[in-house]
Amino acid sequence: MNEHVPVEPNGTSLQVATFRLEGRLFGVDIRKVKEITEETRLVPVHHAAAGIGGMLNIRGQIHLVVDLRVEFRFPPRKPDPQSRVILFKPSVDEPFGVLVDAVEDIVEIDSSTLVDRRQGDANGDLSSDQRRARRNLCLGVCPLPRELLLLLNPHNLLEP
Amino acid sequence: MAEERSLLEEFLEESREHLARMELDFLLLEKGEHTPDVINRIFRAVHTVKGSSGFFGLVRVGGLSHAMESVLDSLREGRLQADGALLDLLLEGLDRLQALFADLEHSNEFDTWDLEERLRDAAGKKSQISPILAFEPQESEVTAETVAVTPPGHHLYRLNFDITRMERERSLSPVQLIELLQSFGQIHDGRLETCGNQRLCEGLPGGLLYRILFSSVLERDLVAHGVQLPENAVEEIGPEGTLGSDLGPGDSPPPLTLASHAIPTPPAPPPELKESSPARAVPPVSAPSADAESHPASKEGPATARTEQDFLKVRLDILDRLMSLAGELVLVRNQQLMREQSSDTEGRRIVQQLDLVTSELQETILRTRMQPIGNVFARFSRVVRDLSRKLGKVIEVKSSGDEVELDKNILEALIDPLTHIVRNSCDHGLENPEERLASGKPAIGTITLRAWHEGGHIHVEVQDDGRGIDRERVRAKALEKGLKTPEELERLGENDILNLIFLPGFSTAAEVSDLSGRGVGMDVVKSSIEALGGVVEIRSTPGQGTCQHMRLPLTLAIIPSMIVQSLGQAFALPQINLEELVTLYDEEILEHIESAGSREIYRLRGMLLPLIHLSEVLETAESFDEEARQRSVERHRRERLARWEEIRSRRSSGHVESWSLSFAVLKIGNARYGLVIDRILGTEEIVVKPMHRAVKELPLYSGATVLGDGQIALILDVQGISRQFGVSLETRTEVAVDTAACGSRLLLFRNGPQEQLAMPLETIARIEELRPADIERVGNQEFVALQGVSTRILRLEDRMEVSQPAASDRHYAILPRGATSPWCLLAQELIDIGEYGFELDTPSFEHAALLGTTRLRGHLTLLLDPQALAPENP
Repeated sequence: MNEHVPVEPNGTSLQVATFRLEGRLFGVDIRKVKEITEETRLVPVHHAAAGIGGMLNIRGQIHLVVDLRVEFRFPPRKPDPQSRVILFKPSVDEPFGVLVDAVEDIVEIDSSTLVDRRQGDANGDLSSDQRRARRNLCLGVCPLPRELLLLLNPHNLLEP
Repeated sequence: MAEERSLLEEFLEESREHLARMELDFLLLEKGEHTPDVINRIFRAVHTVKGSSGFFGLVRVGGLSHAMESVLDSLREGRLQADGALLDLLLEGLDRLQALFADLEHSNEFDTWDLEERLRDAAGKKSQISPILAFEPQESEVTAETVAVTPPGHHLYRLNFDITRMERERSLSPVQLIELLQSFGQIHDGRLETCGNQRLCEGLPGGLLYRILFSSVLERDLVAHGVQLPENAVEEIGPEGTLGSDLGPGDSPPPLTLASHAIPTPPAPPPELKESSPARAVPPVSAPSADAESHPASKEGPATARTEQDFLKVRLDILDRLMSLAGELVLVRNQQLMREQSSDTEGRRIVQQLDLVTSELQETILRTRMQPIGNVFARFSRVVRDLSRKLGKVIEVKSSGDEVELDKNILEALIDPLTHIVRNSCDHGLENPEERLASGKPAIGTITLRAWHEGGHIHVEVQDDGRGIDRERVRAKALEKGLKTPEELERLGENDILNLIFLPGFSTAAEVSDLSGRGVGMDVVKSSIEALGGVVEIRSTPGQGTCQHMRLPLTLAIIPSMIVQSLGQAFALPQINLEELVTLYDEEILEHIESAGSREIYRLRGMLLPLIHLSEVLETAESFDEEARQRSVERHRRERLARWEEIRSRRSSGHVESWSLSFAVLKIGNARYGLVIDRILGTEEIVVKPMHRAVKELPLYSGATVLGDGQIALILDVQGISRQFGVSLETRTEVAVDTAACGSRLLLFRNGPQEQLAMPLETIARIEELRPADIERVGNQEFVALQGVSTRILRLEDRMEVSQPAASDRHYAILPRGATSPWCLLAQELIDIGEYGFELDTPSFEHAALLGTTRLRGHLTLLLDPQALAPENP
């Protein structure tokens, strides 16, 4: 699915919707995002893959929601009032979104500062399992003034 | 050009309608109905196809339809008889035309010469038509019908255009011309005429005359002005078909001959016209007072006129979108209904109105997708005709309920299974005329197709009056193919034998003919009907015929469902799978649910219903194996006991507490099982939404929906759940009560603590008591010396899924009668010997030695067949 990689030619700026998972900063290309909702009461889909958090009804349309904590092998946690679901545009896949701990600002990054995902594994505190999960989902790492931002590729989120 | 493409598509669609209509009419002809009406109708259809094909340069379509027209002409003039051979030829022509239409783009490359030649030979005149020009110039004709369909108050004109000049001098293409004409009137017919044998593609120095039969409210001079023709190129045709002006266009091509095969109703003088259609009172068309109601001919006038006026072609995706919007509206309505349970009467009234309108809207939109089943039935006349000629049989097709409407998707999916069934009837069901006469039946076999509404379903039946299904042959076949063992067959009832033909790999035809039995069996019919949420059943009386009955849902988009709760979550169970709901209270739960090995059974009016706990299936990711099922059954049994103890103790201390357990009785074909759920929430009409592709493969669900309260409910796949739990559902409800020992003397005994067992007394030689110390072991076999004979010991728990006996210091050895080598069955406890009247039920699990299950002395009892338990039948 890497043909969808939304990385722009060097030197272009990219707007990223950022969010937190287990304290870490992640982001997705804002152009892929349809909306962000506070509704996090997911209806479980038994027998679905572990990362599938459940289903969510947004104005009559059923969305599948991926629990990113599970996907990144972070310890499971129930959604709290800070939790949000980021829903993606239809161009990404059939209706779906991701459950995150909290959303943060929209950050504008210079795509030339984006480090290829294979080299940018600066966070040594991730387990190998977590690293493996990250490799498929991350487009790259972007150093922000105060921390690192992991840019995710939503196209790959539902790939087995 | 886009418009040209859409015109072509319209032509294609129209021609298909003509061809379909023609097929039916040909079959009418064959039945001896050569009324002028039928022949004229066919003639008109071919003629229209021919005419329009010229416009699009479809040489082969034109050539072929022209050849067919010649035959029809001879038919009409009585020079030919509509016998089988001729109709074969005409139908072949029709098939070829359909093939040409299927690939219109390359149709000119098809070779139809041979067929055209044969048609012309049949018509009795070798034609000298040039191979390039497929049809000859001929007069544009006005038939009584054309005049009749001219809307009241319209004038009918014949317009003569020189297309070549028009294109060159005014750069007006034929398509633009047609659009122009349609903007102020109606085109009834068109004819392209060339002079001489020129290739159409070379450009025509001599001009290309396009004659159009056109009606408009405008006066002649205005029409001429509108299309910029000299006034003499516009001929007005009077109310009786007379030409108001017989002037041709000033620069018209060489005189046109009236071809000998043209429609013999040329622009006719009034008296003749009236004679040619005496049944029809044709009112003067131009008379504005003419009442539309009094136009009898307009009803069956050229299809073109009708299609334009009464039908509108709508893109399917727009309908689908409309359908899902209506679905959303239903959801909004449901949500509103739930909110409005307040006391606000005015608000409630409005909501009720919204409710009504929404329901009606939904129904109406659903109806746009509906098509009469007659469309499908009609094609079988042809199928049967061809088959019966091949098979040397005489078969008539009758149908009723043609007007019954079905969802387009269902209708399309129904074609293949129906075709298969009809072919089967022709091939295997119906006999030769001689055979039929010999058995006192009319020589003509009949296949009856029926459709009707009943109980919110569509019922479709295919019945023949043939020889019926020979159950003995079905039995023999099932044995031969190894689909069933003799014992299993022995236990099957008459209806169950018939149902064997639905098993994969079954075909009773002694030899596989090229008509049916080409590898697609009745199992495919069954599975395709079931895929539609339908059910297929077969009934057959030997010597009298066979009837296959299908029950189908009206639509697939909106399904009535029961909403249930499990694990605090709502699920939808389609009503179509739901037979009934059972709720047990207090002691009933303990008494009526029996644990037999790895099965939990509830006895429902004589039927043994295996139970599946939905919550457990949901929570267990992997599918169940034997061991898991056993554990589950044991766990539920313990839980029930513990719960009951708890409730009893609380009740004794004064608490009022009730205990209940609910399950839904679900059906898959003839099989049933009970799905234990936490709670029943109600029923709702749900709009089925497909599962997201990432979870589509999950067997438990067939879709998802949003309920009236906005909650998401997953739609349960009844078959998927039973597969996940792995419980065998071979629930043959009426198993062989006749073959079992009904009302006989039985020995009742126990081996393990759970099951009560029984054996017919006549199968037992004697019973002896023995102690564990008496048992000797040789290898892994056990023996006991009984009356000086070393007798092999069999333990039931080694042969069947039954509970293990507790350790005991005393056993009973049951010795069967007529054993080939001495053996005995161990029993732990003898209960009774006595006369018992009972009915056998299908066991929920199959074992050769299990005759069935029944309820004796208040307990579920397994009736054993010692013959099948014998050591030589492991």
